[in-house]
Amino acid sequence: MSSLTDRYVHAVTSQLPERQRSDIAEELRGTIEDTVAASPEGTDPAEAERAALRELGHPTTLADNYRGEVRAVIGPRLYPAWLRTLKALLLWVPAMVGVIMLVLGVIDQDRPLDVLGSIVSGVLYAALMVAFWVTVGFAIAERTGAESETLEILGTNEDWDPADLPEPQRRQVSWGDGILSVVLNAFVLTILLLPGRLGGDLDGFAWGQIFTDTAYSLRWLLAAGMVASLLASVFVLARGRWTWPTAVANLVGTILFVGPLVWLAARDDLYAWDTLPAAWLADGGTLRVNEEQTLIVTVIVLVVIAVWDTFDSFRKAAREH
Amino acid sequence: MNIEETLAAHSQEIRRGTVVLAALASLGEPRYGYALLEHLSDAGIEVEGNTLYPLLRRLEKQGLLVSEWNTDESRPRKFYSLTADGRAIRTALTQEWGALNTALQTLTSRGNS
Repeated sequence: MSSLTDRYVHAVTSQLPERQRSDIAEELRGTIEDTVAASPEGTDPAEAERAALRELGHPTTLADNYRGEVRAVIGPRLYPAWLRTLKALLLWVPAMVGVIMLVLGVIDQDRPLDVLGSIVSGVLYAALMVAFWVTVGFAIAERTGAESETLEILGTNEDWDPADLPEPQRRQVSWGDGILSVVLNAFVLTILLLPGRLGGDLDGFAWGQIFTDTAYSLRWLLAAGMVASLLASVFVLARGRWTWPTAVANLVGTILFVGPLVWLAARDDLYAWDTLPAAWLADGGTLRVNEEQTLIVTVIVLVVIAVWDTFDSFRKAAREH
Repeated sequence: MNIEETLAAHSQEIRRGTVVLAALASLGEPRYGYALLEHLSDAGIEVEGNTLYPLLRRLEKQGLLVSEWNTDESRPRKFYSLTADGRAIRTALTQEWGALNTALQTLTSRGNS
């Protein structure tokens, strides 16, 4: 077994950046030996070693002092906003997903217990997605926001102009708009990643599939785009305004999401016309879908939303400078 | 929080700010961590090792101290000493301390009368 000193030194340095480890370890070891050597004559060496280590304090405290910074995923500045966002999203996104599962279950005429099961799993899945992505978004805002925010608003610390101080509470994006945008992004992402139902192959149903297999196989790309947009919207919510990096991240997300959909629509490989569940839409009768017009409308809607979203975010980012 | 704990918290707060000056004042000649701790303790400045050793690293990073490993003795020791910047900071902080001391003496003697 290693000596107590070795175990202590390892416990401290394993929490420090690699390049500092060996140097700090060697210094610590020397310090502990010095402390032990300086203990009154006749002291049991093992007891002196224990005393020296106890005096140095808990390894994590010492490591924190060496690092000189507090470790926190989300610090006190953004914590209230994170909590508020999470509460709002945990209320809305799982509820929306739950309603969708309910509607789908009723349409499919599943047994009540199966419907209940899919609602519960959908709600849990949505809650998990929301909690994870909101936390990731705020963690990014925490790591990139704190210093640059002060600098952006006030210039350098030396010659800041009091006239540059921002209006109190003036958010470029209101809480309501910010939350709505995050809710929509999180909702679409959850639906995209929700195992199976929308656009996937359906065992036992010849008609349930809405989107083609190609579209289905591309959903990971769409989800990646939605993650970028979601993180951008969380960031905007946390900071209250658009910045260039956020607008660019949002644009990348929009391209990844809208690009494949438009491409699929242009090749008429988006909707699975043959298995479209048009039967229940038309209440058992025959509903004719105008394929060309549906595709055109889809493309126009997607492109208009994408262009407006991008224009709006870049305009707001520009206004801040 | 009772009165003893409150006092302990406040006096720790006062002492915390003085450790940097105490360390800079003692490093005109090179010293290693444990010797510096002893030196400060002998002078009446009680500071915990887990505060002092990381502090020395920070001061070195700020360019106020320079360190050198000495392997001549039985165990290798890292000796810290002042740089030119460190000397300048030490002088400035000493003046600051003097001014504070005078001001506080004036204030506290008035408060006691």
